[in-house]
Amino acid sequence: MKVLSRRTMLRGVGGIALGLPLLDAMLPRRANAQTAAPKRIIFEFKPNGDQTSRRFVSEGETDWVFDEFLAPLEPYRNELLILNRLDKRFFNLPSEERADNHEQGGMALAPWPAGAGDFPVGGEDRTIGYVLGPSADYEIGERVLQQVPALPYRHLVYRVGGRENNIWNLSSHAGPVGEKNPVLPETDPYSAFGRLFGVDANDAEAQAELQRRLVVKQSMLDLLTTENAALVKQLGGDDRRRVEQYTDALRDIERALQPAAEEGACNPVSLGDPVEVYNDDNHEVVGAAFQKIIGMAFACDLTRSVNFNWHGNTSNRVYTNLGLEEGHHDISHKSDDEAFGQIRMIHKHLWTLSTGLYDVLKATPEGDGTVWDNTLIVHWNELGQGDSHSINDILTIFAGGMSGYFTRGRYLDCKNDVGFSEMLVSCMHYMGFEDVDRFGDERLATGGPVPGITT
Amino acid sequence: MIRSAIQRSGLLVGLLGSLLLSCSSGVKSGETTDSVSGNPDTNGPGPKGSTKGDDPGTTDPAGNGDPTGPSPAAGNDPNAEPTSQNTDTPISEDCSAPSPGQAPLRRLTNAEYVNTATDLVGDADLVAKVTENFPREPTSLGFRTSAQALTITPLVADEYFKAAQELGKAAVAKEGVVPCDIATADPACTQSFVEDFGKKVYRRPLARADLKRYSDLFNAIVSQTGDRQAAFEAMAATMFSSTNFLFRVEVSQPADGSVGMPTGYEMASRLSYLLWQTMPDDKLFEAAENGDLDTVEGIEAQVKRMVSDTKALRVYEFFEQWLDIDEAAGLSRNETNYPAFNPTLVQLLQAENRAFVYDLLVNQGTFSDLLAADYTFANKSLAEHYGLATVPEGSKFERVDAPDRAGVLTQATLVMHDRPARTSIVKRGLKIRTDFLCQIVPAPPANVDTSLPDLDGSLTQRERLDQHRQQDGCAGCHQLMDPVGEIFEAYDALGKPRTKDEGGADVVGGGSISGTRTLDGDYATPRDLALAMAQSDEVRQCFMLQAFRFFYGRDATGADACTQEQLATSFAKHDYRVVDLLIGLTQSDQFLYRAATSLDAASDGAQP
Repeated sequence: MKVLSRRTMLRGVGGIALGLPLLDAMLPRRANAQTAAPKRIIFEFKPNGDQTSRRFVSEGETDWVFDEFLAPLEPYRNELLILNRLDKRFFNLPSEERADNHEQGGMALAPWPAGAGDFPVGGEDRTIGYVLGPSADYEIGERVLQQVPALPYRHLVYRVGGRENNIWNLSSHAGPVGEKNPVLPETDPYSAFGRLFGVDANDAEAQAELQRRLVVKQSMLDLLTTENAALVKQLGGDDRRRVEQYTDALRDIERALQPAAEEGACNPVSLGDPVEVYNDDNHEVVGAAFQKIIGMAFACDLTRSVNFNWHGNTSNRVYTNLGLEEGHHDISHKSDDEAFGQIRMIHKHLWTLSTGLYDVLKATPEGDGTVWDNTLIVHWNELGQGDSHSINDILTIFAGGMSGYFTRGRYLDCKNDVGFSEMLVSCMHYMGFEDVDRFGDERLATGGPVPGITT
Repeated sequence: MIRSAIQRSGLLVGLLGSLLLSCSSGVKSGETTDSVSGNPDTNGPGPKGSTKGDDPGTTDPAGNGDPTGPSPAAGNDPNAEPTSQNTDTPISEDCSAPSPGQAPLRRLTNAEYVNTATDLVGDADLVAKVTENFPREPTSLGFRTSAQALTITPLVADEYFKAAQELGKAAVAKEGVVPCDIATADPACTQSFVEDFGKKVYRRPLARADLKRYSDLFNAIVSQTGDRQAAFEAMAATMFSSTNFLFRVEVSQPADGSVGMPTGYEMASRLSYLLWQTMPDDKLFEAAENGDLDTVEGIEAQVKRMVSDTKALRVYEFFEQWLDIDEAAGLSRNETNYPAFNPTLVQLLQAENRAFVYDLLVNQGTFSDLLAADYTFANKSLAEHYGLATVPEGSKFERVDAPDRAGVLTQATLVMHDRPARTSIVKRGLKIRTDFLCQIVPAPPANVDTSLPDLDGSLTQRERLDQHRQQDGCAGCHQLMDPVGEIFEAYDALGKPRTKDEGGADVVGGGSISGTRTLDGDYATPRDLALAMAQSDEVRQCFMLQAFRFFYGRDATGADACTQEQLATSFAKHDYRVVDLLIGLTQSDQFLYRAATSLDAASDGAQP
């Protein structure tokens, strides 16, 4: 993996022990951003499936009619590409290589077999475990880094909801293929904001202090990576991998040491007075705060890949704000009319919140347009429908300007003939990685992108 | 044997008092799943300890049921036997020579980090502040101590790096840590700081190469910034970011053969993290230095001292995670059915469990007490909520008779997976099945209609589930869960005894359990079941397996037969006193010995 060379950094910093303007020369990505706006991708997750028969009133390719819970998307219809009924195909895996539908469905950005050893319910004579390979948000972020080594963050992973991390609610995975390696999401937007924009870039004194501290931090990181390199020689395989993973994380810190350079639309503004993040009543505020951060992170070109989750997979959030008394997941297990009415209510609510992200991106200027123009938002869900735990019939919606890459204002019924994994290949092609022909285990990924959706 | 010298008297005695009311800092948020926090194995799809040989191709018993394929779901088999999670008693192993299993490199848990950092810098408030955003450790087998899951991802590294800088500043500012005036520090003072403070942070003396690295760091920063204060703080911050601090590094290799004892310093950390969840204290360091930890007797002496210290009560975290008490913060109940619900009540339920377990540890409580005690700990509010005959005055928790209740089985763990509007018979049954019996339960079949059409709306949950089990796809697995959960219906979703359910119908008490080696049969009350569980080897083995997983940071495998046998023997010999299981964990081959590490880069170091 290429990273910004420490020596380049130190050389840049050397003269400034006294506080100095930034190392623009070290950051070619900013200059590039002037010529061609970078493409970005956001995977946006919703849990527990919806009601497959009530998504659309009619399904014409251009004149489809949204049913009630998708109605919030109507104002944006010309900026959407709807891929209805994708198949995650996990039943192509033998039972000893897959988990239950909840886990498999929720980790579908990583179309690999499931490991074992983390949960006693859901396997055949075996426990089930975290997925054994990377997710698309990580893979894309990693590939972008190889092209733009100075980009501070490979990807950003956010989840609205609680802090607990388990085999259900972690949708981002670092791999490599064959290994369990879940990526923990950030759940506190105020903390996430501080991490990205901790120093006010308009505060010259703070910037000078930061540059001075850069020398110190760089020296620290140097010692730590050297120490790890010596230590791993004394460790066996699994242990060695854990230390090497830490070394990689230290390199990530090194890359992100530079603050955002403010120019153009990169002008981070405060999120406002913090609310209690883990108070369930605040989920809309927390979600909106993450949406703002995503917009600012793109404007400042801190990352090109985001994995955002409206609560974790199998979320059992009680939507008291909608007058509900049962948890989302518990409701989703039922098949009666009342339960489906509640599911539609929840999804209408979540889709309404999703459009908040559209508004943020559309309000963030870039070049002659906005960040929205060069962003692909991939809305996806754990399941097709919750009561049957179906891992086909998945509703996926592309939203955004998508750099004009995909045809928009279009509805396609993929009839479960197209795999979720092919959709991920299309995303990689959009991001410029057209060499990717297959993403995921070959039993899940037939290869190639979704046919006939590019312009 | 070591054990003999551990005196019954004096263990933790007299430490209760005010400790009882201190609430857990491990607050979890509202997100829950429909799952109980579970348990089993590790290491991916590798060999497993005790499960049956797979026979893929004949059935699809994961219950996931290929929607397009012909295979029947396993759940369909009404005679389905649950699979066990590595609890089979190991026999016929030759355990005459030490045979430790794998000892993976373990990252500090968040709790261990907090305790250790507090020991080092002394400022608990500061430590709480700088660690508050540490991501929650991923759960594996119901615990947050799995070595395999405790990795340092970029977000974790970022948090560690930030925290380290604050801790570094605090450490340098602490009286006596830097043995001279920093402004005029000479190389001798700098080296003395690195050696002394470094030894505490690394939990071993620094090697020459370590000292050289810190000396280079110091010089680099001073030469570039001229700031000696910053250089000292950076040295301390780097220590707090070091793999040697963040992980419990063990690199010793046996002098000859394939098995040896860890070094004294490695053993000091094994002891302190198992019993205290923190770094070694001065006496352990001293013992390591003197070679006292190179013998089983020397280790035994330290264990005896350590279990008498209040820090040993931190092992409560094992119980908290096993029983899911740490998930209590996410509990919610609707107002219609549970008007008594409020956050304070949740804290009372947590405090009850904590006080109860502390008492078991301090007063030689047994496994039987743990599961079936006819007493509990309550203050006025909780006793009134439960409707106990004896009601203490005030807010202090006291031991009170509770003749109908049954130890932890009728404490907060019972209600942790209930629903907002009602009890959950299924999840209560599942909890017993997976966490007390260590069994594996298949998932619900795919694409099965889980609704119960045409049922009379006035049916109780129990009646609906009875009909549920008439359906082919549901019968097999639900037969494992529902009849067990039904035993607990006499307690509502806040743990209070009841005769009417949420719908106003009479509660039908009693249920049954099947698919076990020792417990099959009918039980009229939770207490009846608890009394049987308390005497069941099967349940005791599961408890020992859970402790193995939590304290050793991984699941048991076939290679752990000797250790599991040692734990079982020791536990039995000491009348199944809970504290003796903890002591036993420090006397096993797994704890006392260490296998040689294969340094072959190609080796994955996984299973022996």
